[in-house]
Amino acid sequence: MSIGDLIKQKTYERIAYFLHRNFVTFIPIIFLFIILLIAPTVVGYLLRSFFLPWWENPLYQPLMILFASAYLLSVALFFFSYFVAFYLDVWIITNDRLVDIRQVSLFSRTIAEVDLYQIQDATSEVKGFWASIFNYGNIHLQTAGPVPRFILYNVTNPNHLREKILDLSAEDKKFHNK
Amino acid sequence: MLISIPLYAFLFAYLAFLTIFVIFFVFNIVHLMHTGGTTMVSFAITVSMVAFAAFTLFFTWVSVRNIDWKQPIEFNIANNFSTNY
Repeated sequence: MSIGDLIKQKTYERIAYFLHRNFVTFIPIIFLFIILLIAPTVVGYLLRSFFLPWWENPLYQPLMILFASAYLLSVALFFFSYFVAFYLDVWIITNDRLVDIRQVSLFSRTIAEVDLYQIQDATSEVKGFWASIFNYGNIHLQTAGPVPRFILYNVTNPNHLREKILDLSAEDKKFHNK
Repeated sequence: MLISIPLYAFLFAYLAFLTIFVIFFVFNIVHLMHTGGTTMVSFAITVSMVAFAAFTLFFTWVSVRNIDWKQPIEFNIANNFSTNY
């Protein structure tokens, strides 16, 4: 499915921005994934040290193999599910509207949209050491629509993007005031 | 109290886990495809995860293929709720 199909793009509409969260914010999860993969080696060493007779019993070995396999697959599934939830948090800005798609979890998704001419105020914030270095942050949008507040989380170059959103909003207002 | 459980009972539990794993994994891929998330990044992560799962399953199979699953495994459960006062 294309992005146009996803948002039911109108004929006069052109997509100006298609935004994900900045990938830097996903790096801690990659580190957590690596730590969780290394953890069984440490646990195995401790088990071997403290429970040697139990460890060497050939009857328990298949159980340990099955448990280790289930553990590794669970870690992979956790990582993949987290990536999907991360990657499918998307903001699509066209010359007419802003569509906010939030993948809260595997079975929970929220989609909201606002016409650009309804945007009243935009605030961008870059908070923290890593956010300042890699230039990502949040944009808060105040609207006159049914959803009064939109937040674009951890998008790249938020200050520049805020200006562009306000420019697009001004253009849309001109069109609607005709 | 001595409890005896055949080894294949754990294999069935593992297979039940695998079923859930596959359902969730496929659901994730379907999500990516239906939400316009089919890009090089999502493709690379998906392929990595499929490869990781395939290697894990392969090594699991190699490790357990010669095991006699009919042999019983016995657990000695101590009776902690003694009635002797």
